[in-house]
Amino acid sequence: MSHHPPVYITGLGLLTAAGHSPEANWQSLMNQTCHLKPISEYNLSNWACHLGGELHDFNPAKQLPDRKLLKVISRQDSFGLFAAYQAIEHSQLLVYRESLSDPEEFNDTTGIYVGSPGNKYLQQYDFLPLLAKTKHDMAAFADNLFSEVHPMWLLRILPNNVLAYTGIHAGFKGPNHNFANHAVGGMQALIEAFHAIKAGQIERAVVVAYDLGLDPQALFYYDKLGLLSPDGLRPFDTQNNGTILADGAAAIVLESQASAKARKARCFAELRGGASQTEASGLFGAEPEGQHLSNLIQQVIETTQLSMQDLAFIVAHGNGNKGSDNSEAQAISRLGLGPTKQPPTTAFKWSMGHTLVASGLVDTILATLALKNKRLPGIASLSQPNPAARSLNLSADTRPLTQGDAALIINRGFASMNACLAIKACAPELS
Amino acid sequence: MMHSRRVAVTGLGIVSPLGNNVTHTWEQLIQGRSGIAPIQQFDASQFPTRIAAEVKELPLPKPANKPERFAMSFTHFALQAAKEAIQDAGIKPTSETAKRWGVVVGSGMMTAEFEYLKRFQQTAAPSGEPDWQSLASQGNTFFNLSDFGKTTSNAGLNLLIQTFGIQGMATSVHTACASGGQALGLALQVIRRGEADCMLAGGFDSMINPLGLSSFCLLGALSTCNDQPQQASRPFDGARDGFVLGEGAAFLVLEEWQHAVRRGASIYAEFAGEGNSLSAYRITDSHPSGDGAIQAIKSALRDAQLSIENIDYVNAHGTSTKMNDLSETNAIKAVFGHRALTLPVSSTKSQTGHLIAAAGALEAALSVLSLKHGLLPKTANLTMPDPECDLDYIVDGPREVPIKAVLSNSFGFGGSNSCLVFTHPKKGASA
Repeated sequence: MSHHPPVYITGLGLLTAAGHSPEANWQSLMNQTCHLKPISEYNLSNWACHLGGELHDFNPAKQLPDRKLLKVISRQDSFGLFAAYQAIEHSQLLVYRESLSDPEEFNDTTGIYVGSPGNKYLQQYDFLPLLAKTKHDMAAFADNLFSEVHPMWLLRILPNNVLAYTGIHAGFKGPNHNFANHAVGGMQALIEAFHAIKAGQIERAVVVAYDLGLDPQALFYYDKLGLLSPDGLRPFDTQNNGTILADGAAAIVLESQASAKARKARCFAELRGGASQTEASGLFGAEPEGQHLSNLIQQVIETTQLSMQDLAFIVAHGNGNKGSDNSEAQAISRLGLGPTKQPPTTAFKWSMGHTLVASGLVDTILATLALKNKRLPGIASLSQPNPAARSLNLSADTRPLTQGDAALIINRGFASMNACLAIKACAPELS
Repeated sequence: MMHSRRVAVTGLGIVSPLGNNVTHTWEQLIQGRSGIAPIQQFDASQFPTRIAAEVKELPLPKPANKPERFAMSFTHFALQAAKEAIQDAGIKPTSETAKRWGVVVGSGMMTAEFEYLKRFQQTAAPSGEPDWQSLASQGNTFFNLSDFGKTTSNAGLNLLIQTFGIQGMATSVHTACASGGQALGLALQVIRRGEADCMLAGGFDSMINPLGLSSFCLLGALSTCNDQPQQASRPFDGARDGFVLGEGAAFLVLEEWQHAVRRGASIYAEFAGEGNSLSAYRITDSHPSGDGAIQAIKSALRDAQLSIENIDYVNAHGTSTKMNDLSETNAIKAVFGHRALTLPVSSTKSQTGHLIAAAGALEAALSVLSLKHGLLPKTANLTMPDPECDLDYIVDGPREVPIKAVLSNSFGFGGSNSCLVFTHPKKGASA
């Protein structure tokens, strides 16, 4: 596979419990601050696992340009739109478009690729009062429908609202996709946008991923499955005992070299490529030995024409769940290098929580900033690596990056999905 | 740009309101039968709309294996259609080829089954407001892993992954009524770029349940022609009053051309091109001029390296709503110019109803069958032409015409547009 001409990352947007911008999230990692706290939005006080990554101080009515829009979208959509608008502004795409005498071609060659959570349990609660009132009698249900449920209910819960309104807001009309594939949906959106640029379908894309992890009914099931931690998210630690879910959104603007060059765009990193695969190990399972994941990582290294020596670091999925961490640790360990040559490996979810669909893009943005700042944030919650992770090059502290200029980011989700992508620092003259 | 890897259609599978396999569906379609009737699945007698195009005589069986624990009726449709497609293709993933197989599904809104929502309301929201303490205290009796599995965004995808042992690229997309078409378009790209040799691609959906029906009734989008269900879906007709909900699934096996030729596969058609665009106009309405759809059709023709002279038939999105029918008619006129008035166009939704996320996949399969049989399905119920919709909608019954290339259109809420081009495997359709 040819990797020329390159695809650049030219805009970033980020909204997590750790902050409302990429810079705020980065600073939080530098300060080693954990933002996982008891959930305050719902009364979960008697739940064993009641920690989460909440978006405190996020008020969509004040932070989105169109307040009227809030009547026809769901709360998670507001996260996605916030991140998308932030990335578009950060990239200065619209400023450049204003300078064009005919913006039509620009709009038609700008794609929108989204990782969407699909539907959440919370979205169906508009029907609960009607069910309670009519005691499940279908005739009464139908009779009272129009007085009890908002007429725009369906439009509010469309899983492609962020895609649609990003397009309407910015006027972008190019190819688009909306991935609803649990936690890897965001990273798949990024990978497919990359391929669409490489194939010449589009010149640039806004890639967005968002999720509302703090859906109490979903938390109930995650807890029953033993996936949640009652006391902290500790990737690869001997004390890792589950993940902590979070709300959040992330967005990235990708551009072809020609597009970036034409408007003298600032390059934050080069996206070299990536891939996703399923292990076919079940909806909630993962292969314990991590062989499939290891093969995928190896494949991405090869197809992106990188060598292990090029790797400055690896950002692991590191969700704090013992099964996932152990299989991931084995997959990384199996890359063929001894412990002394293992690239530095880290994970970021200990700070803002697991933002599910958004997590792949959140990690990619933070990896981009790590390459740019030549500093790798550590896993602040790590005290003693568990046996499966002892051959990894882990640290609790921030480390300077002294070797290599590329990074791998790993992302995993239900349906035993794995995704991996590679980014590389931009040439100094483009940064 | 010449594509170095061409893509063949080598397998078809359908579960539709007209029949539970390809042969039956096609026969019923050509005989002019309607799949629309009074709703049988629940008591809809007090809803404004009481008719739909339901799948008949395909009850959800008891789970035969672990993955099927998480099947719902519409994921069961997906499984049946996918099994037929794989069997029809005469090839399936093996341990040696599993990584060269991928799957892309256009899936419906994975809202919970109504019975489950009722159970949740009784347990955790007796007053109509969720009480999380109550859910926690009754958690052990309420908890059933299958409930969570069924409502996970990629549950349908996982069912196919595990049933067939697919280990390559796998994803689930949702762009409302464009989902099935976009799933096929994405699968085409995955084979072209060399990431897979075979893809199982299609769509599945059912919104024929109390919540789905309610949501469209609230919007006033459905036909209320309850006394004459078979005449309710009237695309391009002056007396149309909305669309008719349908349900079902359709899957295609797509295969790299030389891979198919080498194994002596029977090739239905070449999947020659796809066009994908965003209208960026309004959530529910298409632009009256056809903007958005125009770009998708043009892009599909360009991708297939065909001119307007090469297209012999258009399987229209044709929903039977004023806005869609006008917009699509104008888009066809804008693209096909002088040819538009004589180009055969029909909407099979007049007999199948609107399968929402599965519509694009079903209509792609029907388009391929049109190529195979040299038969163009009619637009049923077009008896009072809308003066603004003045194309050749094939009102005179199925038309026997040798054809070389067909265009299949799908346009979704949110503005995503998908247009697919299939060509005859032997006659071709050179530009």
